[in-house]
Amino acid sequence: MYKSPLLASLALLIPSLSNAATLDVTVLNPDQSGVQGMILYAEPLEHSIPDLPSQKIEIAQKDRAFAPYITVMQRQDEVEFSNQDDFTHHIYSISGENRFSFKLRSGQSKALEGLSNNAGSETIAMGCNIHDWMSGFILILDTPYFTETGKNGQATLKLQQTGKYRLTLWHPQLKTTDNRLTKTINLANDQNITWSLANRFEVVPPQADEEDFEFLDKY
Amino acid sequence: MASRWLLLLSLTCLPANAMDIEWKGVADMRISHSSGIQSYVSGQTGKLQNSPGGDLSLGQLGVALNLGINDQSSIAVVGNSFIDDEKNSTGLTELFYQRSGLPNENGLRHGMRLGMFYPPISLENRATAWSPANSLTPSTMNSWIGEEIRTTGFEYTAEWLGKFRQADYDLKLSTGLFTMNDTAGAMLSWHGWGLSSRQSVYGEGLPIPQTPAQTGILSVQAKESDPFHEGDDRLGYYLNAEYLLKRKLLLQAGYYDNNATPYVETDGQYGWNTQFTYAGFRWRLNKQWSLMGQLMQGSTLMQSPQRVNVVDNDYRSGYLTLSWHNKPHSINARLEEFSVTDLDQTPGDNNDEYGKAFTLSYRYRLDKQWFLLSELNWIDSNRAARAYSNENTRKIEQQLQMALRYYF
Repeated sequence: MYKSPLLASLALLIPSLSNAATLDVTVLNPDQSGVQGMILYAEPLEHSIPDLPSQKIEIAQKDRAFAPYITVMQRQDEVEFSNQDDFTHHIYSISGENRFSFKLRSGQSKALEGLSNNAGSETIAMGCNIHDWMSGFILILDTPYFTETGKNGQATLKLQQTGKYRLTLWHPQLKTTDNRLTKTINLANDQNITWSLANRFEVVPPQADEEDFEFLDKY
Repeated sequence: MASRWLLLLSLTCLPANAMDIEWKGVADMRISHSSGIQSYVSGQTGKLQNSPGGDLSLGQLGVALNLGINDQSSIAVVGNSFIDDEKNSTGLTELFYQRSGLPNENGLRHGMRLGMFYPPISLENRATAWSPANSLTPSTMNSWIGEEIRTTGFEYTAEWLGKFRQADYDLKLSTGLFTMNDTAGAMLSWHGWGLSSRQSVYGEGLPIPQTPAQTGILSVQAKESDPFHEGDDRLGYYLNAEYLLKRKLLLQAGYYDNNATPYVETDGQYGWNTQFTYAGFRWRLNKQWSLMGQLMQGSTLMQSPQRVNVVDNDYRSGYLTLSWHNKPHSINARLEEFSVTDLDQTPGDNNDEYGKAFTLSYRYRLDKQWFLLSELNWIDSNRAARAYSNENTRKIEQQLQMALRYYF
């Protein structure tokens, strides 16, 4: 769903002066069930992150949906939209400085240009102006430490360095300020954290086209 | 009127190299066999698209061009051709400039259309070039929309997309101001409700069944009704509201009023003061089953230049369709009921009508773009005016159709 495992393993290869540490996080609902599909990221608060090469990330438009639904990227990464459907999509974002809009014909690709240079994380909410149910999100981060909670709500981050981190849980459907929950931790060595949510959260699958007939028009 | 068309045509003369041209289409090759009486399409009193006997026809050849000016603006040109034993008609069915803005951060989007287009009424005619998506023939209600309701004017639409507000519903409100639809109601009065997938093309004349009144008190009336006629230069209007919950349940309601002056006759075309309200729903019960229905109720009034009521009718039509989809199969069963109630005293022009219809359609997907459709239409109608041609007023008519449809 995102490009983190590669980055994370690359990061491990970089010789580090300090101790690396593994952070295991389990996100639980009030009923102790695991929360799957949440984005977890860690931002170091007292040290910087080495510059990393930019990655190429593809967001496809396939079967009248954004694939993937959620894309997590670092600011230096390059994003390319690729229309794999047989018809035109009109991709747009409604998000602040990162608003964009373009039509993409069948089989065409287009690099996303002109993203803002703001520091910190930013969210881009996207849609298609032809197929209203299509919904996609980009989360732009300044950190390579991100992952997604799996079954049982578990996620692992391999951090290059111990120290103080801000941990964030994000999901576009999370009904909190900026769709986020944060906590600060001081990581001295490998650590397991259980993160219990105050309210039950379950990812609703993104809206899909319910029709089995694609020759509909806007009548 | 000519100046309006010049304005529209001049829009299409923008430099071609500045435009992003896309086109879609539908071809529907059909064989049919009908029993009953001669079709209303050729000016008789039958309710089906085809007269008794067999017919090999071009059910529809529709082409929809979209000339993109920029990301948010384009010109839509839709042409259609319908060729069968009743009548051949080829021409423009829609021509408009449209602008669809982008939603803001609260999901509010503004849109507009300027030109000739269908008001957003039919829940059946949703596919390319206004073809019905799941059946060969739309309901009596939407057959009438295709025949007599076409608006030329301006439409504004506001939409609230729930996905940007963490809401599970979308809301859409449209309002239109229009001209060139002053005769809407004439054919509904004079031939009543019918079942047909035809659409009137710009400039088409609709033949009127002959009654004693047509040759007497109504002799000024042209032999054919012009559904695009403007007689009094007054604007009509419509309103449409749609609520879509979780993409599963669509609720729709609206009102149409052509605001025509009923006592103005120009070029053999009377003004018909016509208004109707309508409501509908489409409910996806699960992946296989869905239910859809629409109900329309309204009135139409046509007067003599002395402002005496000549045709004063109330009318009503409603349908309920149960659909089952399981790729590549789709089955639709539709029940409907319709009526026209004649409230005037004009001799030789009794428009009373009551009927029921049942349509069973089967659609099979042969290939990505190819579909095989077969359909049975059964319609039982009692129409008083059939007595003028010495027919039984009550008729049960049936039709079996098979079509090969290609979407491109």
